[in-house]
Amino acid sequence: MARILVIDDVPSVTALLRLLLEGRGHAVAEAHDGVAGLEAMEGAPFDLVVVDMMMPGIDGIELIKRLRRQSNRPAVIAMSGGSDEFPAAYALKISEMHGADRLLYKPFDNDEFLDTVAELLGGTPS
Amino acid sequence: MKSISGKKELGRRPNARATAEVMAQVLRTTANLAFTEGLNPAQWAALRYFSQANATACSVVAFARHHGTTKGTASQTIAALQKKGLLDRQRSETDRRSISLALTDRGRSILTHDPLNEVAAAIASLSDPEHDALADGLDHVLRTLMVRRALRSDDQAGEMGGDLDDSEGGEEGAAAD
Repeated sequence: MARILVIDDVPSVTALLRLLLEGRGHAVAEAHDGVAGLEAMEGAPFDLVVVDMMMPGIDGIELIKRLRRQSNRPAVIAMSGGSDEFPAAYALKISEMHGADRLLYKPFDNDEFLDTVAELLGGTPS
Repeated sequence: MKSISGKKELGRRPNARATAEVMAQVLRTTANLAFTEGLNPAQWAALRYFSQANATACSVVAFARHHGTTKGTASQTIAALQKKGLLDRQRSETDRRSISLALTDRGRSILTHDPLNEVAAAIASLSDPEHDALADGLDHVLRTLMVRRALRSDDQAGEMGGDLDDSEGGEEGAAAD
């Protein structure tokens, strides 16, 4: 079992991902913006953070950038559907530059998501 | 560095205009490097995308949307890669109606000669602080450019709306403002 933090400003997305991850036995916390995500990480260590790139305030890119400077940072999955103004390929590539371990283009299906989590967590059963 | 007065000098900021021109030269050099193995820069970009994207995003439409390009342009690039035997259409195992694009063995092999490797090697030779500064700087510059582009297209849309409003009496336009 891994401790996983899911951050997305769309509550239905975090709820779905939580359901999927809890179904695989993981302990999941949710946050709906970057500030709340950073606060959650100050309160408890996580093995994995799943974070959307496009959020108001501190967005996913900024959050990953801040994590990059931490010595003991969790693994990170960056996800994005992009927008007309900021295509997903740009957002995800910036997030990879700052240290995201895996990239997911939205929409993705449940198996893609769970496979990516399992691959990243390695030995952790999922 | 200290001046004659003993105070620490801040030094000069690099010239922004010249920095932009150097960036353009880096881009030009990178683009020139990308005319190799019989491919062009757009085709290399597509190969990189399809090597990394999750299966749901491996379609012409998703590639166009995620790269901010038109479906027509994306289709041309993908058709060329298919013709060269580097990309292939595959039917999904879970949903037989769904077709996704995947790199062929030859596509994966050619990607090991990605011309961007040369640029990556040059970047890897930077010191940690230099690499940090470059990453932060590129992030800032790209995001600023995207915001400005969006604002410009909003302005243009507004001007077009204004023109229409003028020709149609303008009352609705005033309300929309």
